[in-house]
Amino acid sequence: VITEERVDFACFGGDVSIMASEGDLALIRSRFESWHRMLTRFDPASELCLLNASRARHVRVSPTMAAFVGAAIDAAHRTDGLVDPTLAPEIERAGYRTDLGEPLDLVTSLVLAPERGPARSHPDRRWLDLSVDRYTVTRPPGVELDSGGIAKGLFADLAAGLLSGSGSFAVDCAGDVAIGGSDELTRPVLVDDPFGGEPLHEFEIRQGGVATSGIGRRSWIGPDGLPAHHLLDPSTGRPAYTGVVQATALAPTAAEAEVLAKAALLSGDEHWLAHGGVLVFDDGSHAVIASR
Amino acid sequence: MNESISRRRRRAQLIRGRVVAGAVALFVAVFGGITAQLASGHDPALAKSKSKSTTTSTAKSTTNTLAPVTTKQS
Repeated sequence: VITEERVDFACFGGDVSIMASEGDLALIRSRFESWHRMLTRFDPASELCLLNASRARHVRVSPTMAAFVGAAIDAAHRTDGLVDPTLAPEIERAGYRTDLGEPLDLVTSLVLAPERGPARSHPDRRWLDLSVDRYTVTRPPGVELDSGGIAKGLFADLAAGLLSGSGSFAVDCAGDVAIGGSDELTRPVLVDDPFGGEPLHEFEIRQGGVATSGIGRRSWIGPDGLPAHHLLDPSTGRPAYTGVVQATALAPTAAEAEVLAKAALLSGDEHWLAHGGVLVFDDGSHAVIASR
Repeated sequence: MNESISRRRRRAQLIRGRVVAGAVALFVAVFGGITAQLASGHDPALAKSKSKSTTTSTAKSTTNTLAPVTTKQS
């Protein structure tokens, strides 16, 4: 018999759920809320906004911000800039300047979306000028960071660290999930159907991360009157339509899974899902990718 | 005259005694109640205040298998 406590709350523009057999879930919830306040783009007083606004080349930051910047740099290097954390100005130009309301209907936005093609790195490779040394971030003034999904994966992992003494736990940070526990029990993980159908697949995970990235949830009509979403092609600064509407990746950590899912979606290429995953395509079909 | 004063004094003493006894009984009752509440582990100063929230829920579940998680876009 397994007894777990569960807490659900809104955070990071989505839903956070924490389940654990032991641990102070109220404390972890307060940490999430603190991390959210630190990294939101929509509060000029947040640490992220202050960092982006700073004209200094070297900026002293909090340990959590340093961890985020480190994860963001790692994501860019691992994907050769496909997952680019320096696209904050582009995402604002695309129309994502505040918390979004109801998303566009996915089928309608796919009908109206431009021609499909894989995303590519930004030619300037601005992320190469980004570094963090302990608690000091260095970047050319004007290079602005977007927390994006990387923060969600990172925070799922940080919360998992706080629950490491628990027999079982799952932290779902708005789609980025960290699973584990000293009892080494397997937990079912269902992959949601972005078109509203039954779950597409079920994984059994004992320890590790799962993340889902997609173009259906954070979507809107852009300034050009075309459908838009939050996953940008770094080479154009415009929403990427690659033929993949949702990618789910498995990985040792939630942060790593987030990077792999996003890279798979932006490239339209399953080779990023080396630990396994699921791709959902424009026509509603899906493919389960086995780990290699 | 003296008898009248003496009677008044006795009456005043009787009333004073009743007031003191009542105050002592009230004191014992109130603090006895608080002591009993604290002893039972329900310190009102440590009680969590209830707050309304539309976005938060907590629950405890007991099952034979771990509850599933759904990974989805957000």
